[in-house]
Amino acid sequence: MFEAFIGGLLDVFSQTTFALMLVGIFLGFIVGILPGIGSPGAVALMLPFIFSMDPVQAFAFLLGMYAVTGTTGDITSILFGVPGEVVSTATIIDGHPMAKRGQAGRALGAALMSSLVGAIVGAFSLAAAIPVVTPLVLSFKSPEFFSLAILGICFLAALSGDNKLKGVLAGGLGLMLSTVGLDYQENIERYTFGLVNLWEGLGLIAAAVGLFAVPEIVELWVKGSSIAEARVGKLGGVWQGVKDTFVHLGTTVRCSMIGTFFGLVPGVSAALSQWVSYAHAVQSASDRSGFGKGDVRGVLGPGAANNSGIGAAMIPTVAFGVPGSATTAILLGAFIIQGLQPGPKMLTEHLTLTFSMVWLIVISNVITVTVCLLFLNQLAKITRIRGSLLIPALFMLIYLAGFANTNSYFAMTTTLVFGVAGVVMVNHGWPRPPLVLGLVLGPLVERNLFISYEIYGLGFLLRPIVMATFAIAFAVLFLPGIQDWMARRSGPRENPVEPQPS
Amino acid sequence: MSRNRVDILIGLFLVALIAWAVWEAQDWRFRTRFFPWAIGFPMLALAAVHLGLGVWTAMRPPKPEEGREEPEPAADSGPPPDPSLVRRRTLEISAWAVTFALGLWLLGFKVGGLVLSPAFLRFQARETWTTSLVYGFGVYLFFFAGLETALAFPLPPGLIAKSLGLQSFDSYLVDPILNLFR
Repeated sequence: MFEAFIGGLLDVFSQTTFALMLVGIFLGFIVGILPGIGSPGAVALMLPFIFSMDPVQAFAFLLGMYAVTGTTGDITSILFGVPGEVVSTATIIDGHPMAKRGQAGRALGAALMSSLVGAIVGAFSLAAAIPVVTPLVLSFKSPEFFSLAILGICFLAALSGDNKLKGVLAGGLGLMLSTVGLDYQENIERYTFGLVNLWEGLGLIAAAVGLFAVPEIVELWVKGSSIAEARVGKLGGVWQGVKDTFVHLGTTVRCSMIGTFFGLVPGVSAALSQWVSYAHAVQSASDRSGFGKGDVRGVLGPGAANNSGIGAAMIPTVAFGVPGSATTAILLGAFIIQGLQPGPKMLTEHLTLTFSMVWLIVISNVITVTVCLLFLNQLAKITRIRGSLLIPALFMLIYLAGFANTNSYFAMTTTLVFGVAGVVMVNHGWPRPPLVLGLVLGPLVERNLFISYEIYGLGFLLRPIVMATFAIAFAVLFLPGIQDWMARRSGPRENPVEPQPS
Repeated sequence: MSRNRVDILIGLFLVALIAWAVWEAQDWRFRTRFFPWAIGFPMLALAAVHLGLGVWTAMRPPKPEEGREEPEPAADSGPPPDPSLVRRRTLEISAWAVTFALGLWLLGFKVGGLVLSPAFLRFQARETWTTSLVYGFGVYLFFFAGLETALAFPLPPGLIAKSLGLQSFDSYLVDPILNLFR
């Protein structure tokens, strides 16, 4: 096995493979930084180019691209409040307020370094976990997947401060909105108003970009200044952000582990792991008052989880042929193109290739983070450009994101409608993250709920993991309230301030 | 309008929306309506609770410390902006958001970007003509060279060119120039 481990590393450094990885990284950088053009779409677009490559070259090209999209997606989340990827949305909550306070460099440094730590944890999890992960993944059936998704929404709703009801309502509304389109079982139109453009649903990216980016654009224009409200002499703080990763190494590693866990469970969105990591970062902090206003731990958690999930998502793909995410589902196509069969053979006959994948994820991230750190000051200076110059570019990007989602101009309407909803939600204290997560998880929740009901009846609710998950969800939602109530009864005390990610 | 009144309005909207969604699903087959109902009925109850809480809060006499609902300004945010200015600028940018969407739909991304970006910069943001035009060409180059050419990302012409059976307007100018180098 050690021989394969080293052989995998040497294969990556062969001339053509390394060059193709660099091309992949470059494309991934662009794809990551452009809102809406997600890694699944980009990997799918590039599949035709790998026919003439050998397996290591093909995966160097594709994994190089895939590995960096999450990292660079955080850059636009922090600088503009526009998520480069759906999985970069959680970074906005604290990253963008940091940029507004003139700490863009620190936030970017923290996001990049935590991404690197996450990527390394995730990649080596792929190497180490293969023999032990089988029983865990196989023990999860539809009821468990359903309960896990509900838990994710409850986590986010719990972060809505005093407005947990609003958080739950927003999450539920997201789930309801996810039903728009053709029902996948009966092909019956649901809430489409007869519009063919709605058959495919509302368009997740169009909705997410509208909800998060449009309120930022409105604020930018209303303020009439640059993104960074506070002026700083020289954009420093990058190394402070890097140092923050190691000061809060416990949080970073724990969030990486959360990302790894969610990454290796097939079908659970990487976006969910980011939000759960954010929730963990908040709940494990002794002083939570800065979260939602620009606490660096709110950047470290999602950043680490985002990238650790990439390596982890490869585990079920390589070992069982069960893709852990949308992009790995497309990567399965690359296995087929290359004549490889995911499964036990990848751990025996093609073990060197499997280890090459591990190294590719690590090396791609090291290169990306190094390059980004070198040019971070220039990137962060974008926040000091006056808002009026950024607004047309942001308009073009959000509508491009909507368009790219479904390749139709109609999706721009979705962006616009969700933009209006976003502005209303921000102005009236409604949390947006649960709504987005509901939209993301809706199809997964529906499919698993239906299968669970068909197979087990209502008895699926009594399965041990489901009950445990629901107990955690209940505790997350109600325990702080019960604790406060009990504390009020026993005497006055200082209430901790809950963060409100809106 | 106070936050509480807006919350009541949003609550009313949610109750109406979810009730409609549940009602709409009644004629669907079981498999199709299963999830909308499984989510819809609990959501309807929660939305009703939210609405009820909003109405109850609005009707009870305010406690002395509850008179003001405006959020406290952040310590570093400076003086609060003039509400009429905020309203005016919000309307302005909303109008431009709609204009960009319509313009891109009618003209496509390349030509739309070339026209709309300078229009915003010159007529709304009062930038100089030079800045506006250079910016517009930058946007065009991004779409043409970055997306369409380098990434092979398809950018269809807008509705006007499409309904006239034409290619994207810019191609009549750009294609002959490119042909010189091919």
